[in-house]
Order: sequence, then C-alpha cells, then structure tokens
Amino acid sequence: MTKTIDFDQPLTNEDIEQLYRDGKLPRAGMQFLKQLVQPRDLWGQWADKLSLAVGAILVLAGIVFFFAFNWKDMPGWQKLGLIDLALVGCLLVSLWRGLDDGAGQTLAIGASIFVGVFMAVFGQIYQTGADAYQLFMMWALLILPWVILSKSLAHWTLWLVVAHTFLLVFWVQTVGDGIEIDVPLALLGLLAYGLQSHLASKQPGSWLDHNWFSWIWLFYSLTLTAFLIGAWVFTMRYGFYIPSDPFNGDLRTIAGLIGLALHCAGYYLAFKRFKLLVGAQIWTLISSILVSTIFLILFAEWIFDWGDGGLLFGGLFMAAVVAGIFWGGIKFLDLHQFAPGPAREVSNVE
Amino acid sequence: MLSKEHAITRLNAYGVPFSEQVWMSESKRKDGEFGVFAIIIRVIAGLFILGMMVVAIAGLIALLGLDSRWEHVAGTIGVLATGFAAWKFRTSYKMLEKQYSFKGLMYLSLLLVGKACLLAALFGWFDTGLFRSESGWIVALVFSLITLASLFFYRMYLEAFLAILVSLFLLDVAFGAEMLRVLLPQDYMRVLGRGDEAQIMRIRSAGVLVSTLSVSLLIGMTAVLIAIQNRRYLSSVYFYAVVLFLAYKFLPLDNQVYWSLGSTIDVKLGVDLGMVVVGFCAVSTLYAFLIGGWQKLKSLEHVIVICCIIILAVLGLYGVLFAVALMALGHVRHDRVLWVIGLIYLPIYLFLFYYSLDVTLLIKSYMLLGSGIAILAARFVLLRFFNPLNAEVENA
Repeated sequence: MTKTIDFDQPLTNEDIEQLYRDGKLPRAGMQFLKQLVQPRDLWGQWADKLSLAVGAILVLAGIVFFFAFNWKDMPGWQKLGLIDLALVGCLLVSLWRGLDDGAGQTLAIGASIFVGVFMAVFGQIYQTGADAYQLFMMWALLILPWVILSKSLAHWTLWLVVAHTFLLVFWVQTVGDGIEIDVPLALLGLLAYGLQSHLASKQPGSWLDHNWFSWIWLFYSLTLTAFLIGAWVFTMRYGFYIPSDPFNGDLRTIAGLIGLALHCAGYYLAFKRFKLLVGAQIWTLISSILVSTIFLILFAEWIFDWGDGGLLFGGLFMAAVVAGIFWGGIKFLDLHQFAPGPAREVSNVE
Repeated sequence: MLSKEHAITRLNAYGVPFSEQVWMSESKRKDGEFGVFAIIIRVIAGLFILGMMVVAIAGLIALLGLDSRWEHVAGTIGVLATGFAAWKFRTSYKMLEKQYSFKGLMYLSLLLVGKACLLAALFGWFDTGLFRSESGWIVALVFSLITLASLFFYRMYLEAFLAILVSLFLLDVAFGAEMLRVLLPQDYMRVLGRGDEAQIMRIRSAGVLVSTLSVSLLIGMTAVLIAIQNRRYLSSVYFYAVVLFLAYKFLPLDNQVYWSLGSTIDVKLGVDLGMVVVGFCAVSTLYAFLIGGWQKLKSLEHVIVICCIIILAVLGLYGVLFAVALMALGHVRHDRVLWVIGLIYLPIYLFLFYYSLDVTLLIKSYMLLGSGIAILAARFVLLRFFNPLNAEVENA
C-alpha cells in the first residue's frame, strides 16, 4: 500500500529522518540532504559552547596534572585543604547555578566525587586502619541526601556504583572470594533498572525518563547473571576451584539457579513488562553469548577429544551451532512487539 | 526552501538512486532491524564462527598431514571462501535486507574466515612476521591491495570497515618498521631495546619522523574522502575506518604499537616540527573548508582562531586538535557518529597523555593550562569585540 505525498512541499528534517529510519536512504544521503535543508555554516553559538567546554576541560586537566606532579611533596593539610576547597567550591557554584542547570548538576556530581576522594586521602594520610568497605559505605551514606535532592540519573548512577563497590568489597573482606556475591549485585542492578523504567513510564519526559540508565543497569545485571549461570555449568562439567572460596563451591549451584531466575526476570521486564526494544536486544545478545558458551563448555571437550578429525568436524559443528544460536536469538526478538523508540536509537549500517 | 521533488533530483545527481515511488512505498523494516544491535550481534556471531572455523581448519591441516605446508591449505581455503562470498555479495546479496538474513550472516562469516586464512597464508608464503622482519611490508601491501579490490568488487560495509582497519594497521606497522630500518641501518637491529641513551634517542627521533609521515598520509586520505563525499555519494564506513585509525595514530607516541620494538625510556624529544606543521595545516584547511573558503580567513576573528590552532599545534596537543576538528566536522555535516568519536576521544587522549613518558607531568600541566587559557581567551576576545552570536541567525 502506498501513501500520497505532495512533492511540491518543502523538505523537512522530519521527512529526512523518517526516510532514514525506514531504510530508504543511506546515512551519507541523509547527511547530504540535511546539509541542504539545514546548512550549519553559521555556528557561532555551537562553537561558543564547544570552546567553553574544551577550554575548561584543558584548564582543569592542567590543574589536575599540576597537583599530581606535586602531590607526594605536599603536606597533608594542603592535600586535604585543596580537596575541601574543590568540594565546597563545587557545592557553592552548583547551588548558585541551580540544579536545573546542566553545569549545576555536573558540579553537584563533582562534589559527591570529592567526598570520596577526601575520605580516601584522609585514610591514606592518617592511616586510620579502617577497612576499605567502610570508606565506600560512608561515602554512599554521606552523599545520599544530595543524590536524592539532585534529581539526576547521572548522580544516581554514581551512587549505585559506590554502593555496589561497598557490597563487593565488604563481601571480599569479610566473607571471601566466592562468586555468590554476584547474586545480590545482579538483584540490585535489576531493581535499579526495573524501578527507573517503571517510574519513567509513569512520568514520561521527567528527569527519570532517560534510556541510557536502564541500558547500563540491565546490561550489568544480565552480565552478572550470565556469569553465574556459566560458572555453575562449568562447575558441573569440570569443577571450578577458587582457593579462598569460604563455601568450597557448595553454594554455587544455588547461586547458579538464582542467577537463572534473575535472568528470566530480566526477560520478563525487558520483553513483557516494559517492552522496550533496546532492553530486549541487550537480553537477546547476552543470552545468545551465554547459550553458545554453555554449549562450548558442555560439548567442546567431548568433540575435540577425537583427535584431528574431532578438531575438523567439531569446529564445523560448533560453527553451525553457534550460527544457529545467534540466528535463533534474532528470530526470537522478531517474534515480539515493542513500543516505538525515539528516532535517535535507530541507525543504518552505512 | 528545498522541495521534496527537488531533493529527489539532487539525491540522484549526488549518486543515491531515489524516486517518488521509493519514497511512497511502505517500509518493510521494523525499528532496529538494521540498527546498532544488528551490527553488534552479527559481528560477535561472525567472530565466534571465525574462531570455530580456525579450529576446524587446523584439524583439516593435521588430518591431511600437511603441517609443514599449512600455508597452502590456508591459502586455498582463503581464496575459495573469499571468492565465493565476494561473488555472492556482488550478485545476489547487494541489498541490506538480504545481507542481514541468515544466509547473509553465513556469507559474512565465510568472508571473515576467507580473509583471515588469506592473511595467515600470506605470512606463511613469505615466511615472515610483521615485526622485526624484512618482508612484512609485502604481506601488508598484498592484503591491502586485496582489500582495495574488494571495495570495488562488492559492497559489504561491515566487512569493509574491519578490512580497512586491518589493512591500515598492517601498512602502518610494516612500513614504519621498514622506514626505521632505512633511516637507522647500523643502529636498528643491534641496539633495539639495549642501546645507550643516544642510540635510543636516534631511534625515537626517526620514529617520530615515520609517525609524522604516516599521519600526513592518513590526513591526506581523509581529506580526499571528504572531498569525494562532498561531490558524490560514498559510504561513510570507509571514512569512519580511516578516522578511527587516525585517532589511534594521534595517541601519545609511546602508545604506538611499533614502539614495542624498542625501549620506552624517558627521552626528551623536543618539539616535533613536522607534526606541528602537519597539524596546523590540516586543521587550518579543515577550518577554512568549514567556514566556506580560504578568503574568509582574512578577517580578524578567524585569524584569532588560527592563532589558537597554532598554539595547540606547537604545544603538541594533536589529540585535542583532532577531537575538536572531528566535533566541528560532525556538527557541520550532521554526522553524529563523528561528533561522538570526537567527544569520546578527548578524555581518552587526556587519560593516555597523563601516562605518556615523553615529558614530565609538570610540563604536561603547563601545556594543558596554556592551551586551555588560550582557547578561553580567544573566546572572550571574540565575544567581546566581535560578538558573532548577534551577527548571525542560528540554524542548528
């Protein structure tokens, strides 16, 4: 079925982007038309912002490099004083610009970073003997009020990274070197993804409505769950001894099963609950890699143990299986319907 | 105002076949079908399959008892696989939809396996490695010629992107090593990694010259691609491959691969005049191109910008110049990929700059402070005395 279009009407940017999304126009063709419709030969405002950003980055980098050169010769009070100055400076300018302003938000995040830097340097100078996990725990607790007030997903990302690091370091220092810690980490990551996606769907266009946050945390969580499942399968097949594992691998099966459950939960959230294409693509990609890896783990030794013939036929067989797995993943994705995404998420290969 | 009908005429003149029927036809694509995910999953699948096929080929060679002539088996497989896949992409798999089908994925894998086997066979036939050998450049040249021929024979942009990157890398390393050998025949093999400071200094100075020459050639290649794309349709994939390799070349010197040939002791090289000239000329030419011609450079505000470029070039911050140039080019050409490459490249360059051993941290801090202050000062002068923002209507 074709639609009627008035070709005497002016060409717009929306027309060009629609043609590109529909695959009727290659990338270079899209750029060519955009240069005709919207020539950017007067770009003073853009150059003004770029020169401000680049100039500021270079000056800041120069300051960092300068202090890095002089760092070991600086007395403790000077180190802590400078960090305090940077922290207070960031906070004051952030309050002055306001949290609605991009620069204000960036400086608020910078202030949060300087809190952690202060605590690390303090512990280094005074050799307090505190455990590393205590640093991250206090860091997360201290900046939590700012994070809540800032209403910024970038700030929440920083907080989640600090919180996750605290959990990981706490586990390693108090329990040992098991992989079981990946279970709560994956669960927290999925919770972050689910909560943000749910709130964004209730308040579209708000500060919560940014896809990159959900992509990062979904990717992170599914990588952990895939690792848990893969480690479980590997343990069953070959055994997997970790020297300082406090449970001697006894909990690995449970961790693997929980990982599988979380992976399935990820499927439900990405495909059924939120129905967003990119989340589903992430799940499909990681699952395809996971299934291929499991297949390799289970059958590689058996196939390749047949000597040279095993190498030949095993290699061909595995190549075919892997191709089938990835193709199956693509077709599995095609079976589902998703909410239409914004134009910026779609691109051609050329 | 450009009408839709006129746009179609201009597209056809540019080299993109298009018509009213194509415009009005229903799109058969689903969102994301050929998007970034599609590229990533196919590349990962292709690499998995390539790994398995390498194992299979090793098994075949062992089964045939041709271990001592493995290069002939690999070469035969390479020629057959590449030839067959290339013929398929030229004849029945030209369209993106077919290339992204299951068979398209198979032919892509066949192409990757074929080219990998060809490359391995070339190393075997010439009995050479890439580093520390006298014939590595032959392998690099032959593979690059195969890549060039492929670009004209068929269109498979995903594979073309990888092939161009590999070819550029091979050429850079092989010719870099060869040129070093020509420039330093007595010192080179004898003192590699073990010489005194003067000898190492000579080697690194020669290395800087080689690096400058290769960067100049790459910049020339980039300029040619931009010029062609301005007049005629050419896939952006080729341009992105060259730009990414150029980004690698602009990284601080001691991160270049062929420095693995020698020691990385801290030697002071001073200002590299060649790179200063090349950097200044390239960025100034680009700036003139972006503002609409050399004649516009006569006005004072553009002279101020050129002074900033000179300062950055003299201070040796080529990576910063490159990142800014990419962002400017991406903005003017509505090319978000270029803009993102420039945006990501700047912090990566600064990060590696921190760890490079060519100059001390103190000197680096002065370089960065000086260039940052120069840019901010130029911005202040331009806004205060020329006020370009009020003199224009912003289109973007």
